[in-house]
Amino acid sequence: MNFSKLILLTLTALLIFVGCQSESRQDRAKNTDKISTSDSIEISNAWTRPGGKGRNSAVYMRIYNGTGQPDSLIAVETEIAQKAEAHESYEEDGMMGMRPVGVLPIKPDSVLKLQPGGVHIMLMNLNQSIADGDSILVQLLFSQSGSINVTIPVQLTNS
Amino acid sequence: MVFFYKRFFFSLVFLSILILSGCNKPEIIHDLSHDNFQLLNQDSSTVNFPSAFEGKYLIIGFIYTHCPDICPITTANMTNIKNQLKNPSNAHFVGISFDPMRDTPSALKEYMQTFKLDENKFTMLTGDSTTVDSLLNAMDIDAEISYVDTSSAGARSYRMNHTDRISVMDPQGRVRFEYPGSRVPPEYLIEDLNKLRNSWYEFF
Repeated sequence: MNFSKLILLTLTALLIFVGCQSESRQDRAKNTDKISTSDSIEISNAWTRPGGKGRNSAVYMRIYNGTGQPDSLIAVETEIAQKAEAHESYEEDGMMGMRPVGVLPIKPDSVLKLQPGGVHIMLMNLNQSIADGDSILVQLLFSQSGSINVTIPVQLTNS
Repeated sequence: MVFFYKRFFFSLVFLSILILSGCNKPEIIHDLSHDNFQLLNQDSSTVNFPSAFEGKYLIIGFIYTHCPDICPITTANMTNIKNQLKNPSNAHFVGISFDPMRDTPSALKEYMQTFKLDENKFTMLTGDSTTVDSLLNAMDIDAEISYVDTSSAGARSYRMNHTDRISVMDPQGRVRFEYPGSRVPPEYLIEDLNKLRNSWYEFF
């Protein structure tokens, strides 16, 4: 084997090594929410997805517990759907599923995040269609703070 | 001697391009190029999948219209991909329902209107259960009824567990990339899609 062939082979090997390093992209999304302060329960970033009559939708928001005491979201009521419950999306054995999560505790000075792909309020069997640009009324019931009415905009996304 | 080095240099450049392109060539994950699934679109028109889309790169999401959380995220992701994709002329977006029992063409039409999907770029597909099941099987998508609820009025409703997937199919009907549909950042898929669209080896 002459010198030029040796160089060619070495460069080829290097190119194969470098060229094969590229990988398919993986999901690396991160959340970097800012926590605001309050001396009571504070709701922010509330929104819900559109949905047709008889379909389901999901409500998302941030709930900050500024009361200084532990509190819990114990129920959700709304006239827009036949039923509203706290649910979570989860992944198991490569499949996505959803299940009710019951009471959601919120420690003092902490935030409960209801977000896409995680814990959310599921609106089951909508009584009427809700479209992008509409708003709906939801009543959140807390174990210590009582009920809080929230007007929630209907949006395609949160961006 | 100069001739030899010139030849050596050009051979090396050609070989480098060949090797770098070859190493990045995405595998064929599922080959549907010889399959034909007779489905219905949102207008109740018959669509032979995938041949009806021959020549297009397909971005395919799997959904059901009663899904409140994951499927709308996947749908929103597909819209974001469409909006961020430069030169989308040879790309098309397809939503395939894994709940054909409830997702009739009119239900899919309503879903498109609800989520403001561009009818020129999106097609929603459903069909008879046997055909849809065969297609899902060919594309390695699992879906099953997970929870059944019966209202006081006797109305039955159910939720589903399902694969979270967006797939990229090449113009020959072969799946080349798969992603977690509700979680993949649009720019990642677009980067892979553009590599595929711009690769010389795809012409052979």
